[in-house]
Amino acid sequence: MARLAIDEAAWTNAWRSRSAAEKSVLALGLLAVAVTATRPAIVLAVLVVAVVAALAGARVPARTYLKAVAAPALFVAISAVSVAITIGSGSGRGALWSWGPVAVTDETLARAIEVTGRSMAAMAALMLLATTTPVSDLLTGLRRLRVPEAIIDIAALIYRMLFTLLDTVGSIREAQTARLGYATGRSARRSIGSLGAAVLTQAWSRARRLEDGLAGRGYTTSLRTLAVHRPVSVPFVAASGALVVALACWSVGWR
Amino acid sequence: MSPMPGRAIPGKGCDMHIAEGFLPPLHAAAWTLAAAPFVIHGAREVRRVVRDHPTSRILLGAAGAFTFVLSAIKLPSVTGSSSHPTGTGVGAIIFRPPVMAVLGCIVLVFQALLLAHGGLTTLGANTFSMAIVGPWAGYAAYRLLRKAPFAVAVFVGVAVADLATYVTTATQLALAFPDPTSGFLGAWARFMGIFAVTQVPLAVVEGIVGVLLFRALAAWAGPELADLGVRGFAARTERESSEHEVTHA
Repeated sequence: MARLAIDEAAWTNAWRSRSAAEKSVLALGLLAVAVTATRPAIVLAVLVVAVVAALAGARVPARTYLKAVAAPALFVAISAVSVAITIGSGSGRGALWSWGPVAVTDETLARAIEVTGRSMAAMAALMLLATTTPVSDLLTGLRRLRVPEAIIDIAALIYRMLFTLLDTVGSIREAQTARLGYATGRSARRSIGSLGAAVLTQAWSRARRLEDGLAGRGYTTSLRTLAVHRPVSVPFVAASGALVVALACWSVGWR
Repeated sequence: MSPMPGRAIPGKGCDMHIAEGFLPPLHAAAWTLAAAPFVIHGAREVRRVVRDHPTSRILLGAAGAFTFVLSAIKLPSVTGSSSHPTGTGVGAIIFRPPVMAVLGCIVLVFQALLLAHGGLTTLGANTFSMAIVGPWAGYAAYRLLRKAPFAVAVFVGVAVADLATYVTTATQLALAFPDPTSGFLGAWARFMGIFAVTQVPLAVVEGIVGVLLFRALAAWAGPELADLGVRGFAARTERESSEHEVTHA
């Protein structure tokens, strides 16, 4: 079975039995503080709190965590470099480093550091939610928040079908590779094209079979399953709420 | 290439999702507001379809799962880039842009939660570039070329969807981070330049892959595509198959 590292962590971490509401208060609160933070100290505090909560609190494996943030970190790095450099006539004044028309100034460097910090803290907050809460729990929560039933249903179906489709991709790809399907650029493009088409036809035929099977069981409206009842822990919510509010107050400058 | 099936499918490498927290809060909020009408319109459309045909939820779920999986397939790209928006162009041609706005938005939430690509605060901006501008631009190009051979229309449609997504992302970043000396245009040129290295060859490769994908689909799933009303599809494949018969006779 295909596995996604973050999803696996979400199902196995130490906070698995906590309610989605508790974890959302903490993670989304930290996220809100991170993106609106005005001072570097706050960004750093959010980053530390979110990482410690995920690794020490929920005991998410550090390897999983690092692997998951590697790809978006590359986007942040490339874009931050682009923010740090300036091209044009102003390169003369206050340039820390310049090469022809390209220059890095105090101002652009400060902005690049600011955006990198904010992005890392926000990503840590998102990861805290993603690595501790399975998607199906979040969907149950969204249903309670009155997101349209049809949308939740489709999202739940996507989540259900995703892993079998990833499996299909894995085995087709293996078969294609064994037949030298990726030996040259030309054959690789052909292989990818037929892989995409095969995945779509698979998705369709699975959907049709699911539909037939469910029709036989009287499926007419939505595919609801019983949600496990998880009481919201008042101390956890109170502590997270207090932490978030404290960080927010610090951010706005109240004492 | 990953020798281990199943494990390392989702791509590592440069992708065009604006990372969580990268945009200033006001920009993030503004792009969310800009994307909302399209997503709400699409959601109404989806609710109407689902009310009339309850079982179509399953088909839409399959379409969404396909979009997610397609974007995670590693491409044999010139620059080794991997997570990519092919799904948006192909999806827009098969499922139409309004539905893609909703499916794309859900898929982006899943990419944020399951792959850490993109994020919740940048969901609006990413939805705008990948699930709205990309599909609409690609679909428009595809429709404009309806007199052209099908392969040409698909190639241009998929490539335009990609390029439109990349130009939109560069614009979003330039608006958020204008150059101190040369302003928005300077920053825009810089972001365009930096991402062009990966995105322009990627668009060409994805266009080719899109054509090959539709060619395989025509052989395997012609009737399904005709049911979905992919324009001229059934007629064309019929003609092609009759041409085959003629040449084989």
